[in-house]
Amino acid sequence: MAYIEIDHVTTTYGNGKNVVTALEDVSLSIEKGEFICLIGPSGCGKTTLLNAIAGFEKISSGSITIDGKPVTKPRIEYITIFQNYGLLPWRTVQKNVEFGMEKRRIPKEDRSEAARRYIKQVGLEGFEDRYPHQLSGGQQQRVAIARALAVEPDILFMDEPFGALDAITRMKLQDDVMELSKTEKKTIIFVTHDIEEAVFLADRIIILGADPGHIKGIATVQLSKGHDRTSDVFIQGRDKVFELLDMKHRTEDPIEYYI
Amino acid sequence: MKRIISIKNVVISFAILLLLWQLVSTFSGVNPVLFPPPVKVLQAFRELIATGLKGSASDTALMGHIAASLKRFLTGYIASAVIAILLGLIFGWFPKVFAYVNPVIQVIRPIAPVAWLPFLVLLVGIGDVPAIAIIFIAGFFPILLSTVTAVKSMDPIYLKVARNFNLNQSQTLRKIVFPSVFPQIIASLHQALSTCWIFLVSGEMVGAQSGLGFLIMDSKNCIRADALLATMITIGVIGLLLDILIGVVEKMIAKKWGLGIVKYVNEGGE
Repeated sequence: MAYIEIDHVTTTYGNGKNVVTALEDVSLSIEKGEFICLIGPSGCGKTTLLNAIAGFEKISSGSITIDGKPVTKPRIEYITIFQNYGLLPWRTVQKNVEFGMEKRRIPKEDRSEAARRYIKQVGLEGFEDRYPHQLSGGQQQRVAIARALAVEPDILFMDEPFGALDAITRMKLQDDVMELSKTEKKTIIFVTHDIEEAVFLADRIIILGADPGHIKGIATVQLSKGHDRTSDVFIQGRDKVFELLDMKHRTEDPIEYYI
Repeated sequence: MKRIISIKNVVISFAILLLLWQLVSTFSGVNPVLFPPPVKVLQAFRELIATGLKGSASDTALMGHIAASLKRFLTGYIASAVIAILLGLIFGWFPKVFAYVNPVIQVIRPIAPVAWLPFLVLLVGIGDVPAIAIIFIAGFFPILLSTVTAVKSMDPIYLKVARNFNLNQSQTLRKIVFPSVFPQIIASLHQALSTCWIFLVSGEMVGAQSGLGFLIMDSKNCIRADALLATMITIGVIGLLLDILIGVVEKMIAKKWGLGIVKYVNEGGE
């Protein structure tokens, strides 16, 4: 059994006559330490799938297990990073990063020392006493990442985390998340609608289709990690994913690709 | 520069008011005892500060009345703020409970706080309690309802964060809900402060033996329009000072919460 097992999952919302199926019969296995990107057009249910695995959303049928245990609610072992950061505006950077640790009975000094360490890790040393509104979008997302790392989670769920950032900041943060996945060996599930981002980051790209949301194809990325975004293989990989995304007809089983 | 203009505005506006007042009292032919000129009011003001109103039922000077009023005001206002915020958080957090409470609130809310007075006097007699109760009622509903609305409409991402970090209900209320709606609560506290100050005077006009409301009734009974006007001006000035004070607090909090501030962005985007 895989680390994360998604087994014939269907989710619906609304009630009575207005029931809409967001995801239909989705199955997927994810191994520990894998970097998974969920990609697809809007309405394909990629965020719904992420929320279901993270425990924010109830599923209508099927099952999701992490490490053999069924997912019923969000847990501190699996932290979600949101597109709009989810920082607490009334807390400083330092206090935001300490937030998750307050739950554990860690002495105050150790807590603030650990927080400083994580703030340094995301490159925000010297910003400890700033409030979120005094930071740029990229810096705010770095704080959210530090806050997540501070509780030493096993899995990071990232819901279009760089969607609101400009291209250069986005690339820089992609490099950093890549580095993070290598050094910390965390399992990362990353929602994006940016094909290049997916090809750059993922070990496997899950391509979803809409109406209702289903898995269209799975592209296993065999390019060496940290590849050059302008290399031929990278561009070929990108085109392949684009092709899959664009494919109209629906197959019985997801198509598997290697790029 | 802005400050200089506003001081200039204040000085000119009061100069015009005093001038008109003086002109009307000189040329209108109204008995100066009933419509005293500014100088008389100033004299009455001095008298109130130094000895209190001559021939009054109470020998308290103005500062004593102010202290009595402020004491009642703070008691009523703080009590109503604390209780309304606590209930507001709970009702906002449990909308199903609020659905049962809300109809009753909607019926009680339009009753003017002064309309409670006779009922309260019959119930508890005259004295401090009716005045404090009126202030309480005046502040309670606006603070309660804006707290409920703020909690109901808070950004759901904070609650997602709370769930993700496994906060329990009381931790979520303390660490997430309360601080996230605090700016709205402060805004409603600001609004309620002015309302409460207005109703304090009506509360004290019935049966209190001290305070600015009492002083108004007392001046009327002594047919001292000059003292009456001096008291009215005192009420206005203190109300204004309280308003400025809470306005400063409100601004400090808004600044800390990053509201209404131009976003600071580093050069180079990041």
